[in-house]
Amino acid sequence: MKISKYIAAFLFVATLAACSSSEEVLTGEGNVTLEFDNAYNNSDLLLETAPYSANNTEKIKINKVKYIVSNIRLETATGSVFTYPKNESYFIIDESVEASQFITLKNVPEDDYTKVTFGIGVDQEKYLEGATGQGDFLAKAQEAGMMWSWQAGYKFMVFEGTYTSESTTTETAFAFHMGSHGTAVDNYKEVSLDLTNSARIRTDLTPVIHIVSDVSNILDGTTKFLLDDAAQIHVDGVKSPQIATNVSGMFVIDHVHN
Amino acid sequence: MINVLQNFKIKKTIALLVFVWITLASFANTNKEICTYHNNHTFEYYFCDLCGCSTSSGSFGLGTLNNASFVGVRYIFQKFESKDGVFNNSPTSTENFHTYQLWGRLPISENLYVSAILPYQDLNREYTDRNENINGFGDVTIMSWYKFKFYKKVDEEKSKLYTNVTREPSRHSLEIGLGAKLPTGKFEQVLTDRVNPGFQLGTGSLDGILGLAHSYGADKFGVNTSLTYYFKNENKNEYKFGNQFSYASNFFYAISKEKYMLLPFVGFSGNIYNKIKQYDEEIAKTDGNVFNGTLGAEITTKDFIFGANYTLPISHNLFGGNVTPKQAVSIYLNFNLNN
Repeated sequence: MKISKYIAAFLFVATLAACSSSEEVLTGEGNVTLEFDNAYNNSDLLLETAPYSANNTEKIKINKVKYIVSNIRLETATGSVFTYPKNESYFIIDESVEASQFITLKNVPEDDYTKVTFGIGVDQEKYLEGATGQGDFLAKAQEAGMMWSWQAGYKFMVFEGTYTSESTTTETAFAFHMGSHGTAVDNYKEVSLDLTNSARIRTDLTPVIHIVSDVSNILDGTTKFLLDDAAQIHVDGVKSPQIATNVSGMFVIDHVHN
Repeated sequence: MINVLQNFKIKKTIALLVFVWITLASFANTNKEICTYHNNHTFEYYFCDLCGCSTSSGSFGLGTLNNASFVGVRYIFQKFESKDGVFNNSPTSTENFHTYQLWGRLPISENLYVSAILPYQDLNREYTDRNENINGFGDVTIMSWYKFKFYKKVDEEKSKLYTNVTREPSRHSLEIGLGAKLPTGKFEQVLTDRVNPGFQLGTGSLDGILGLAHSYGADKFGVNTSLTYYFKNENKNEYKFGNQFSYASNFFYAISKEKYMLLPFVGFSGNIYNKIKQYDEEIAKTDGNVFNGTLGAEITTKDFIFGANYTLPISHNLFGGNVTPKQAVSIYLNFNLNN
């Protein structure tokens, strides 16, 4: 009789203990989606519609926004880093192709990630692997118009449209193409962003990291670009690195859906 | 315990019990006299929870000093506009919340009574290209209220002349309430991705409620004020609504007729929400506040109270400004069960 009491007491304590321990054992793999949502200031970016105010009296209509996102890494609060396999870690975000704005990373170890890091463009290490080392990304980049030539290299960012200003009253085309210049100028930059709340990757849970890319930062970032000064910037030893800095500063984590 | 309560069968049982209790309440205290002391109080007391206002209560009826049993029905319509996206130019969705409530109260002793509310929710959201609808029972609220009795100062001259002077009740009354909100309304994880976190049938958690209600009634007018605090708990989806503070104050004027009394009232109310936590982390843009103006009227007779009111937000900042509260309308009918 007494022993049954002890058993009952033990079961009671065991139940309590089971309730209080919420530690999960994470051994599986899951997916995570990075959503690149292009904006102009606080508005969702609309191509070829209403003109947006840029610097001074300049008004722009945007036709094309494309950029290369690469070398994605995820980091937990405790500092453990997951690097997505390099050969699969090159993506082209194109405002006119909705599916391109969602990057899904597969086989990511289950964990609570608090930080994401990615590159804008193609790093020298990859470029130096030569044309064959690029895998099918080379063809993709060519198809998307994200290459000058193999020698000149990838366009990391393409930003095109038309503009008017006080002094330019007829609609005039503008185009900013930014990239590394072969091996002469390295404009590859990394962006590190702390997540607003942790992305809980589980076998059965695919969080969405919602990144807002404010493209107004391309003209109005660390450096201000007046289209009246130069409406076409392609390969430029001084301005390209400045554009690269502006682009790397245009990303903000809006939220994480778990 | 919480998990157990979320068991569907138990939810059904609770819903059934509330109905049974309300029915039983109708037979209780049948021989008590009503309205022995009319002090012109109406007790318009709201439980306006975040989840589609799921636990709004009916009016507490005439005269706080009588121990009447009531059963009532209330319809609440609320309108919101929520952004469907994160940008200034994101499309808006229109949300129409319809809440139908059955509620009742039952005296336990001279100073104590319990009240319960069973809401049914019908929530609609119209996007530019699609609609979303959820309906079903909301969270049941059960509260116990303690009434503090106040008396006027005894007239010293009178007490010298007479030995037996009855103490006259004061024009003030104060009630303190303690209760719980049961997770009888369904909480859906998928809806947490939407901009308005209030688009849920229930919080999915067992929540605590602390209430304080004061009323002052003169011959022709009165003021009712209520303060409520909701202690929200984490639900099984590891989602915890932010604690909430609600306040309301109404000034009313009494127009007495032979068979009934008309009480037009004007007032203000408001809610302050703390941030929602998911997986123990605060979620940005989930806090906020709203301040409303209210206009309404009640007709009270010996047997029932009929009322309607209109609420319009005066200032608000809900969920990062992404949710705009529009007007709310409420109509209610309470029956006195003592007659």
